[in-house]
Amino acid sequence: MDLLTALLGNLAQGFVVAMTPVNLGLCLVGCLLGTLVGVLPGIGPTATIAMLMPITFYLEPTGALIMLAGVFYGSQYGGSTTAILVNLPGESSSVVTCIDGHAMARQGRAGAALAIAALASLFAGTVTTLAIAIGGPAIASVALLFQSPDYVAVMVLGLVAAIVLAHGSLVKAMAMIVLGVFVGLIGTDVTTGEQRFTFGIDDLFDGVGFVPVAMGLFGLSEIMLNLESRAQDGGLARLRDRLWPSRDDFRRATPATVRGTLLGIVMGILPGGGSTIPSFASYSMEKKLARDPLRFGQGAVEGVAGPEAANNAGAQAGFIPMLALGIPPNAIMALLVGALMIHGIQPGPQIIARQPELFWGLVVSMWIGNLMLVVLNLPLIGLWVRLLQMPYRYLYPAIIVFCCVGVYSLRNSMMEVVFMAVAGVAGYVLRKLGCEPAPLLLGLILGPMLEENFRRSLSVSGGDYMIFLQRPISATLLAAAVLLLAFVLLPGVRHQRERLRDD
Amino acid sequence: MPIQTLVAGALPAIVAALAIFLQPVCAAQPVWPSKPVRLIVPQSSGGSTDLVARPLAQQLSAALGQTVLVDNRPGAGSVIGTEIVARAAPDGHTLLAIAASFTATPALHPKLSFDSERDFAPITVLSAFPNLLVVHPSLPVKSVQDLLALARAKPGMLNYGTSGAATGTHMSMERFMQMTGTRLVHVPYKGGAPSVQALVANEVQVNMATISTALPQVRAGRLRALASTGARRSTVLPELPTVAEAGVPGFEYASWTGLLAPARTPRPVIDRLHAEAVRAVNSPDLKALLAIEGAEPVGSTPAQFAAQIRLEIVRWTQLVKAAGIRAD
Amino acid sequence: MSRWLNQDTLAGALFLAIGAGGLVAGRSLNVGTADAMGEGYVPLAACWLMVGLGLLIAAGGVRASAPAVEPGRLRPLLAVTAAVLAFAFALEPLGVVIAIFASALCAARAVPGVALRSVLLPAAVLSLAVLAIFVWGLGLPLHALPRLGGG
Repeated sequence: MDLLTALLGNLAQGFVVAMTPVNLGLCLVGCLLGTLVGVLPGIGPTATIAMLMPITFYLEPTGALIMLAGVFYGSQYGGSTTAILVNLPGESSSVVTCIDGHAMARQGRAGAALAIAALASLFAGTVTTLAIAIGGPAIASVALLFQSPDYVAVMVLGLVAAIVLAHGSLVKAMAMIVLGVFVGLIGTDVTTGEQRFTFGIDDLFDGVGFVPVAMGLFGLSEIMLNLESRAQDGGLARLRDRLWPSRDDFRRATPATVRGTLLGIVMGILPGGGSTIPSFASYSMEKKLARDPLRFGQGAVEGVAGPEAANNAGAQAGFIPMLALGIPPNAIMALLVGALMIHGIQPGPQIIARQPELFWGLVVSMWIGNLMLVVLNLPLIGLWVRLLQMPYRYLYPAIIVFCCVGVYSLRNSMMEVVFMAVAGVAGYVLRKLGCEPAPLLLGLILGPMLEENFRRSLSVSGGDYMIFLQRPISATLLAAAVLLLAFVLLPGVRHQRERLRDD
Repeated sequence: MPIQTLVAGALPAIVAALAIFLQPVCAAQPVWPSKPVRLIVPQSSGGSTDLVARPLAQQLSAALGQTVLVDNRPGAGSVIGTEIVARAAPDGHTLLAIAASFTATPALHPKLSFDSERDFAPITVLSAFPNLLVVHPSLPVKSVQDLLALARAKPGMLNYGTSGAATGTHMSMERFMQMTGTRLVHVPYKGGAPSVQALVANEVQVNMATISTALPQVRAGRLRALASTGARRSTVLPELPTVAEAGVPGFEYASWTGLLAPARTPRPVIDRLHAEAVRAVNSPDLKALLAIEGAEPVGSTPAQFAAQIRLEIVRWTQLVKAAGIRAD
Repeated sequence: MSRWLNQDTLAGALFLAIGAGGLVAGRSLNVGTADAMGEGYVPLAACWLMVGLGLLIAAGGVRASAPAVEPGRLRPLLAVTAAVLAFAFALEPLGVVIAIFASALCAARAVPGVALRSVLLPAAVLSLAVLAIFVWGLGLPLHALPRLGGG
């Protein structure tokens, strides 16, 4: 009971801080700006937050953090919008949303997909906010139990999950993952400083960026295939009379949303986890649990709801280690730590006790921000859907240009745009050969982290591979990965897949 | 007909292009700064250099009457951004804010396309900050002497984390080991935060971490600080001895953030920038900001800074040779 | 003959080629040992895996049921790629506006018989939108028009 009173008291304090007109306004500005940069391909929350940092000098620290946090989760909403409408993953966390979200849009159900994505995100945001409020510091210390072998196991599990993602050949999905890992390793080796496969190109020293590859593989190849097959004057999708999801959609989406949220919270806390791995994991999980997994890839509403809930929960759960431990789990959180330090606040274990108004104000403003985003975005759905009615011959050059500007702005480098073109051609060829791009992207994200932790594990263990089985966390996760793999390779499941392919 | 149309169409464009091209020649020598100044930070935003560069840019903008724009160009251990400044026009419109790794780079990358001494005009050291020698609390050492005894008793058993190969945290540990004759295993991480987290998780036992990342964990009792690495005690932990005081005389490592311009930037521009930068780092705002990081404003003269760069390059080159570190 | 040129054999050959190419390009990388891995350990392992998976995929192509490659058309592929490259190479010397027009003109070549007028007007609108959002709105350091002689 005491716990509940304390929680209510804390939340009340948070509401007092978050509901001041200034903070509400900042939250709105952050969410709007975040939605904008999320919708635009390429330019992401990291760059936006970096650009906004100087403005935050003039703000109260709480207001500054509320605005910057708004940019972050606003961009998650915006990223899903582009993913669903034009098959462009605006953010890495919306790669999975492309698969079934865009399939729904092609069937004229873009409105339903957008609404489900928004509502699933709101649900996830609400639950995560409560989770932070109740167990923030306690949850955060879980991250401290994780050592390199455990991260290796998490990533192996994630990669195995990506195989499940594929709706075509399993072996091709595996090959695409390995290709992704390989591409992810191009660049300067962190440990030895050696150049790997850079062929003397400066822009490759830092590795191949995720965004140009994702834009090329998904967005550009999609345009090429569209131009090949359809009449130019029509829009991208027919308009159905209903924008809102059906009762059946809600029935399917609800359990997926709940599961996605839980996955997102757990995985979002881990360093490097962020919001991408949970979204992939959630998709795989929904596909495994579904009675008719063949619908996935053809516009299954669970394939939108689960990952969207997971990426939003993961995004917000990342605040827990940042605030409670002072250890930022990803680049965006590192920026927010920087923003706090500008104001003389050192995030860390003492922040809740010393700066309760900041902590609780932020927690409550996250929830308000999520609500604002839904209120802002639901009316916009009609407008977005109308965008798909635009003749394709006007739409596709615009998509190309926005991709180019966005990718260029990442590092102010034209070579990144060239890489995107290369990825576009590669995506076209691979898709013609029946290889789906999503597993490659997960390999690309996880490859460097996997290698880093793998090497570190063996370096700490003196070359003993048993270290992965000796630690309970890694042993459990690896066992789960093996089980999942065995389950995927089971003859029955295989048979079903083969049947689908031969249709 | 087609050719005529082409010519007719192209003519205005050519004239316009010529006009733009000739503009700088026709115009009188502009007063500096005649356009926005680009302050290149060869590090992603939110990093320790960026944290100093952004408020500095703000104060310089106000003082110079032109926008000073922070341009983050991370990559290849700061080499990419540094190279841009080395090749930029020496007109005071391109500046470099850089961390202490600047002087280690020539030793680590023998094939650099620029010369860290000859291609730059040093302006001032903005701030200096020592690191903290921290260990996991479960390690039975309470002082630098204890640590040395343990490391000597069991060579190669202790692991130390760093924020990456050839970074300041790595170089300072190499120096420490070289001066004390100990051998610890290097485990690099991607940045300071993950390396400190790994220390808290007891994956590694030792770290010479930056104060800003280690301090909150030390205050929460998750890490034990043994010493600070500067020449003087740190202002944020005045009770903590320096490594030199604790038994390694002569050991000193302090990271810094410096402001440089391309070589051959006019002297008056350098002097003006020096005056404004020194004023900025000593302003209450920036001072307070630096204090959180455990850093102090410096504001040395261009000549002092140049001498420091020369000395450090020699020192790092010797160390890199002796320890066999490679980053290229 | 064409029976052998299906999705599986070609995809298998592609992965085999990438893997083998990686092994050749990375032959000078240091592999090291498990406790002190060199920079080549993991990437070369990935290349070997690709070679193996490539063979496995190609073997699947021997089945009669292996899916055929849908015929593609070169025109959209080339036009879209050219549109991106035109933008990339025009942007820094010529500015955003010219880059957008160049890109739009290339993109229009993807489909036959597009009137010039129906490219230029949308490109102008697009230029304004990009300038408004990215340059004036988000303050990205892009220049609108050619900038010669300056920095």
